[in-house]
Amino acid sequence: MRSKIFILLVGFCLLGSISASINSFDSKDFGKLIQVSEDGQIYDADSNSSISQKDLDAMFEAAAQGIVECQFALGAFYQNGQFLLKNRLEALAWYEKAAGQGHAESQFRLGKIFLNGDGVEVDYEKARNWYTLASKNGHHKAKLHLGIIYGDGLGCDKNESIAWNFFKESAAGGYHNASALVGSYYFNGTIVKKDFKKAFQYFLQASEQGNEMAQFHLGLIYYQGHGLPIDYLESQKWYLMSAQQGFASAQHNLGASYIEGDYGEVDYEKGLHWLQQAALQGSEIAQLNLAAFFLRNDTSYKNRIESYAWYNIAKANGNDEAFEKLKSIELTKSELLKAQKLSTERFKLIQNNSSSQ
Amino acid sequence: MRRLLNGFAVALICLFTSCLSTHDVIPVSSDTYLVKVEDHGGIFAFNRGKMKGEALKKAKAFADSKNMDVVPVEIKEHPVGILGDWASVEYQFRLVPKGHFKSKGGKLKREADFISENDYNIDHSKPQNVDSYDRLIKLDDLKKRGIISEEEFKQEKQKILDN
Repeated sequence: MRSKIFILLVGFCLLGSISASINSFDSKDFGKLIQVSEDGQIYDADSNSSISQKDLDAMFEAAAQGIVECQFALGAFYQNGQFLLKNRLEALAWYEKAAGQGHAESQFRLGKIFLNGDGVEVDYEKARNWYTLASKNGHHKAKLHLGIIYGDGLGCDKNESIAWNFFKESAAGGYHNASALVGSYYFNGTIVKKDFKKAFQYFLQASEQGNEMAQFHLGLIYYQGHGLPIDYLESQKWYLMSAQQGFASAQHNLGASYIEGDYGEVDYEKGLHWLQQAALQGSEIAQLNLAAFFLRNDTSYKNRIESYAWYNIAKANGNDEAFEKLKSIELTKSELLKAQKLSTERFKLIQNNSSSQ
Repeated sequence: MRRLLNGFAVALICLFTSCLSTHDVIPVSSDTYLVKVEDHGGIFAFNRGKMKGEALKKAKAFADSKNMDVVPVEIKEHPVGILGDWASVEYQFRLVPKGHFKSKGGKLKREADFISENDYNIDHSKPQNVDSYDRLIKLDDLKKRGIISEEEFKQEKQKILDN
């Protein structure tokens, strides 16, 4: 019996050390395959079973004796309300114990808790200190967060060169969000000299890991060229991937290209579909372009009510151009009522979309 | 007195003589250009057709010089305004490589056939003919190639911090 508890104990301790990215290990020795997902959900991959009270007791005992992985795992259980009732203070306490022993993921999570004020007062200084410790322990996510904190001057003086170093280090560690960000800075030339070739490399790296912002930028680079050969079909491929993940700018550009026939044939159906997706996410450009499209004479889609409704939404968001256009669309009273109802419904939908993000 | 009459005659002749002036071709974005033709003939000589023709010719010549084809983007007309504000036509066009699918066949016309706002003062008490050819709009280049705004970039960074 004792040995069984010990095996479980070792199993959970190991599980704690797996930390962030989805890792799995075939624990032949323990006869189990255990996974920790990116959001800290810990589960038995084989059976998805819950753990018994006995297992938990064993973990508490081990954590109390200072086994760092068990301390982290308990912190995660309390934070996520998994296996244990959600308790932010307990989570904080266990993370702090593990972090005190140099556990990088715990240090990172503490940083995040203080940055976002997750159950505690927002404390930029504490956040920065925890992130710094995690970074020194090689935590790539922590490096990126730290970079953003310095770059935006959150609770400290803005320092773009420190930020840039953290971004690059994090990207070099293979964190896709960092690669996408580094790519964006090379692309826009804001804190570093514009370099489309380097931007392209970073975007490619991040895109292959499924990063939607990077995929959008690849699509944009293929569309505009920027020193590389223009390739609309390659652009379409990346836009599509990004759009399918819900990236509004990609949805807009993809839709506009279908409407303009950039991919060989004009395809209003697809174009409208993607423009609408982007518009419903609150993309102002998409709203204006949709409204303009519905006024076109050369398609069978002409619909002044739709047009009015989209301009009305853009106007509600404070767009002056839309305000001007609205005045020129002549509608009968019943048409106007219809259009206003349509825009009210959609406006609510858009607000819900943006608040749930 | 005779001198005065002579002067008046000259002024009249000037007024009735259409004198178009074409500005240089201005780049709007990487492949889109704008040419403006003004009619200094004043109110009596306002001639839309002629101004449009001039603008189209100018664009064509410009494209030929670069060995490219013209794809119309937008035509805007401004009627004569008060003193010194000449009637004008602004023609926006894109250059595409010769033989590009967009410049072939019927597509050319369709591309340009959008509805648009212009600078007329619209009297809202009267019904408008929104369909009139004079108002052209299109998904213009800059909008179509929407890039990520500062605001959106901020949101992206926030998303990273939240994840």
